[in-house]
Amino acid sequence: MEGRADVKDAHGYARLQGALTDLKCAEEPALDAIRREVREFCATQMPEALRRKVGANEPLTKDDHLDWHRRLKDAGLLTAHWPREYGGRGWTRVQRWTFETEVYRAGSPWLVPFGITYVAPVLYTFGTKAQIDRWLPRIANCEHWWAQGYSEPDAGSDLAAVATRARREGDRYVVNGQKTWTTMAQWANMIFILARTSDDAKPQRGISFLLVDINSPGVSVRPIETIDEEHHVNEVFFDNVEVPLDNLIGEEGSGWRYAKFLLDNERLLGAEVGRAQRLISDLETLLRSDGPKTGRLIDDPEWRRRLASLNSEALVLESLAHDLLAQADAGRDPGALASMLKLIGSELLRKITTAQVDVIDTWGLPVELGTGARVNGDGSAPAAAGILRRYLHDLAVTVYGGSSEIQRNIIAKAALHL
Amino acid sequence: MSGGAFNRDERAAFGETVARIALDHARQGAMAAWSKLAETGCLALPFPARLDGLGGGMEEICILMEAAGRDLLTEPYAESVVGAGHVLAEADATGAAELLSAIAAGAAIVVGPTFPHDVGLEAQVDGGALSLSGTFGPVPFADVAGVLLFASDDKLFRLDTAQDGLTLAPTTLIDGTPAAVLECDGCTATYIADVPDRLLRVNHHRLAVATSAEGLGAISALNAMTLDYAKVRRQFGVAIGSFQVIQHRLVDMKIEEERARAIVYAAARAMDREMPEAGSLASIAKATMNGAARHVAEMAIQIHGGMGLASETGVGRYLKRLMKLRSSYGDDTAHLDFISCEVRDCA
Repeated sequence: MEGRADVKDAHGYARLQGALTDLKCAEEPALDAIRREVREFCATQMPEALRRKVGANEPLTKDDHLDWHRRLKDAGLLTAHWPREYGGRGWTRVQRWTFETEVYRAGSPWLVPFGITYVAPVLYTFGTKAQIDRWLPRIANCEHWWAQGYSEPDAGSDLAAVATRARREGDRYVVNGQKTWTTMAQWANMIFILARTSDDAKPQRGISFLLVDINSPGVSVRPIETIDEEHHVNEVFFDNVEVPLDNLIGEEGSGWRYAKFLLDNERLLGAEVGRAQRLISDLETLLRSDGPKTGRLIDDPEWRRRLASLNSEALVLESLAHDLLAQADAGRDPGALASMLKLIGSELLRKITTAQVDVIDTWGLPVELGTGARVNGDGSAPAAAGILRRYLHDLAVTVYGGSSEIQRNIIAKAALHL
Repeated sequence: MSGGAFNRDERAAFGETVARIALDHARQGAMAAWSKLAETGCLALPFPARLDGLGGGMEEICILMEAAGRDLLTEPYAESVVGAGHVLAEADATGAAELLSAIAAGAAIVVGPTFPHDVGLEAQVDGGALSLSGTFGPVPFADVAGVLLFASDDKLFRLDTAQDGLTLAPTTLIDGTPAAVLECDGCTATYIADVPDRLLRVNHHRLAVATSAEGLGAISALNAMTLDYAKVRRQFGVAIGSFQVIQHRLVDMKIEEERARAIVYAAARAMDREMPEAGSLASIAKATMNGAARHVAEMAIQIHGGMGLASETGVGRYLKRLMKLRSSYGDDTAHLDFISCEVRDCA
């Protein structure tokens, strides 16, 4: 009977997971208001079917994403980190991060960032009024889906080696080259790219930041299937694609500066504590379930400590993220801080998905992606196939957005002055 | 009680004061800074104003302990002020007011409270006194402490070290901390006050967090030393800090320090606010510091190479201090088990 009560109270760590947020909200009342609003929103607005799909790690459709983004938009939450003059609420980084942590804890799908958190800040920071007026509202109302054209076959970690060319011809650029690992480009209307506009001096100097309509003649998108047997990423080819000069952001040849600004923003939000905690909760559900051949793994002290340790790491990261984001909000150069958060956050996610796979191994479940056998009766835990897909997918987190090795290089230079 | 009697400016000024004291008495051996800590009011830091204290919270204690760790001070601050002093102040022991004043003035050093059964002492409550027999220790600072506190059956007792039936055999711990082994042959500890179990549990967490802050200071000093060394030590014609493998190790060490700093101060502030999860956060802080301590200290030795193994460079002194701190007030396993237990996954 005792065991039963324990299963009912399936998430013993739920309260502890919120302890750091409780502390920060007690210290900063503005954060508390955001947290309350987001919790209320998720409780009333998140469709149950969406929550279930995310929990089981089933592939989402474009409409799943769009529906969720529109709900967030209608509540004024999607772009609250934009300045007030562009329809945002002028949230600080700490505030945006608190929002993200809460929605992910509640089971939100990935908030596709290419429009709302990547290119939008570049637009309103470096774009002309005409560019802002033209593109920003279409990002806000989800009319445009953006893709990120950074990586190329020979420019991965060494991003400054981009070889895609934009040749100026009269009132337009003519773009030739290839981008790769382009996430969700199959659903995109627009893509921002780094393209080489000159060859002089050091490689970073000749790069420009261009906005390209992905339906322009000469653009082709080809899917890449990843090891989780899903279609997330693509190759994008540019064959004499004409791009109006108006689609150049800032100065020609200064694209590296805007690219780095964007990457810092990307990495600052890279410590996905909310997502990590939700995955830890999934792990906890597995550990409290009766396995096919073994009893409950939570009764094994080694597993109990591993669960306590993962929860501890998530709380340490949350605490560090608050401290470092507050420093960035106070004007400290975000480069090294962003790299630290991305590095720690991505490595924690890897540990969690590995632990989930270890449960499957311990239980001796068949390792297959196809059938999606449920691992417990009430459907609250993700299916074995979902766990395996997530593990395979999340091998990417320490690679994308600058690999862990690149983040360590950046920190060594920027923080340790080596 | 809630901390936070210090505002931001006062906290910054306090930080400068204790950093200066630590630097002035760096590596000068046991008790070198004690009179200065008394003179500047640091020994009255956590006590409430009604007891002539400064009303500082765990956050201020951590600032002091971090500075002490950075410069390897060897003072009974955690034992006498953070632990024993706090218990005496909170237990509302009228008979202890004098002892507390003596602690705050630096005139008395008090260690404990300890549960006799936890350390293998036989204990019998006899009227208003506790009779103790057996061997206990080595107990840090017991040789300089005039009083050891014991807790039994929700009561607090004081054992005065100068009494018949009690002998102290002095020794030193691995990091140079003076200590003594107690031989009790029916020695007597007298009743001071009732002490709720909750206060003793909070006391353990206070000591775990204060110890973590001291460890954090030592870790940050080791990181600074090792980084400096990597920039000047040349092999193959270049500074070893130019090698990517060394750079990545130094980054990982720095990250361990930043993680420990974030959670130590978060736990301290959660304790000052008496948050329900403060105990778990304290355990997370200690487990995190423990892990960082071993990783950073061993890697500091590795990057210093042979020089790290020579006593004269001092890297080893930090390693030994961190070894002591890791084993004090709970190892990783104990704290992870505590966290599990808090969510009712008790063994």
